[in-house]
Amino acid sequence: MAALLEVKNLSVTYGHVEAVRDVSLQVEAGEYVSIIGNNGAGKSSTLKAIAGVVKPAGGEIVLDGKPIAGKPSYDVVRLGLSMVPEGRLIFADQTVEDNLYLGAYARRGGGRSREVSEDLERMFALFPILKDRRQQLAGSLSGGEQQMLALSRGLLSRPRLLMIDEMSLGLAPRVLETLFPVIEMLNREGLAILLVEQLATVALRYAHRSYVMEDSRILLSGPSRELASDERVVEAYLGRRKAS
Amino acid sequence: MSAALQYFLAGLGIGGIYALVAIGFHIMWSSAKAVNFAHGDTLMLGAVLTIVFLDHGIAMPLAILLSIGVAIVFGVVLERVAIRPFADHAASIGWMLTTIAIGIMLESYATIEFGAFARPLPSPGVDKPIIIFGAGVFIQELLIPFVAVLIVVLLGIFQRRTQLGRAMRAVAFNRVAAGIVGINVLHVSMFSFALASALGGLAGILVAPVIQASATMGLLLGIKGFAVAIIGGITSAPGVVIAGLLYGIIEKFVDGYISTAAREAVGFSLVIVVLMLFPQGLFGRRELVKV
Repeated sequence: MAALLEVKNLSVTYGHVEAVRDVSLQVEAGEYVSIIGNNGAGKSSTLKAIAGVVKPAGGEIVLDGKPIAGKPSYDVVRLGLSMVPEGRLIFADQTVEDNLYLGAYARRGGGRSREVSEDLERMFALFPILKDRRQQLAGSLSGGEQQMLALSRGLLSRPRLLMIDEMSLGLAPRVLETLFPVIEMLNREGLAILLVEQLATVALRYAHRSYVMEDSRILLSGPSRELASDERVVEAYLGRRKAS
Repeated sequence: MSAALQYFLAGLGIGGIYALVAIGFHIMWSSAKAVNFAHGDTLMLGAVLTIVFLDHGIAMPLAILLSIGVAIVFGVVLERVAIRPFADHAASIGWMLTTIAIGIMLESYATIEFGAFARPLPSPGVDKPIIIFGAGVFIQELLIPFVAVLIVVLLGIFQRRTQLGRAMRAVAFNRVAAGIVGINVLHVSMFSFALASALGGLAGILVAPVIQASATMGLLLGIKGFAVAIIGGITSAPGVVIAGLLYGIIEKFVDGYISTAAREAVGFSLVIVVLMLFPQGLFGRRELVKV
């Protein structure tokens, strides 16, 4: 069976800097996969290339049998792949509700259908605080609330694969304790997840399989449980790192 | 007293034009982060073409619609050939030269075809002035600021209630974020230029009965509209409208109490002072550094 997402020999360059070198990875339908690694290892660039935010310098990206390498992000999201970007990038000068409607931009018929309203209610059930603040400007939300909004916005395109870039960045551990279980729940409902995360402990706890990136390449991969006890991983990413 | 009221009302009239021009600059800046320096000539196109169509026996409403239609096509083509290829990086400034060049070419062409003289555009709004507390004012002059305010209100509703409107704001805020939710930034840009150019053409048609239409009418209107957009804060549509109306009123007072010769000197000096005090414009939001 072909994977939902198949990345082969992907490379990304910025000028003369090679940010991603020969990266291959797969995500099966309904799978929860993480990419861990230090800052600057090329994790985010990998996601951005898959999402169409940056053009890959080489390699193949196939989503559900369709080649998408080099396609712009606004096309990729229509094929069922949604990204929650690093830094969240919510539309700070628009209301929470308008941010959610924009999340449904790629859907046929756009914003005002009944299905979109229902999905909005689903998001409000997941994150009740967003319902309370639906008329507030998104920029006035706390960091955790903004991340909830960014996640909800990403879900409103009804993706089959949700890619989340550095969700934990700048957030308190208490907030992460509410966010990660929600993602796990979404995954149990059938949504495939590709998570890029600096907090290796958390990523390895939730993801079925993980890739370890170092110096623009994939160093190791395997079931998260095995990686969590791999000597190299423990030493480089788990050992001296504060667990969240 | 009636003199002051006279200047105030006339100032609202011309200020409304500056406001309409500035809304166009605001819309184009928001989507493309570029300034279309040929925007003043879009006004000229609207005004001059309406007169030409009338000359050919076309009825006024149709002549207006056709002129606005041509203005829209002009804006869309200009975005495609003079902005998009020259604005791919935040640091690109090629569009400055290309839009100025297109403006000059259009102006020359209009001079050849239309002649180097000014002609009035007939309008029922300038048949005879109405008198308010001793101040004479044309209906047309009262209509212009009303249209400007109406447009900014409608634009606000459009940007809050429709997906395309939200998408315009999203593109203005962050292009990467707009892309990942599925917004084609280039389509939004094209739409924005069409909208701004329609408003520009309309502004030209509205002002032509008051100041007369000529091939060169766009230059100063465009520059002042741009100045108003900058001092109002180009990121804020209501801001540029308020600035436009104020600028028009101040101009007319300088006209009346000092001299017409002092008008531009005082006006543009004011622009410089305001910019020193408010680098983002009076109502502008600081443009965040975008990834």
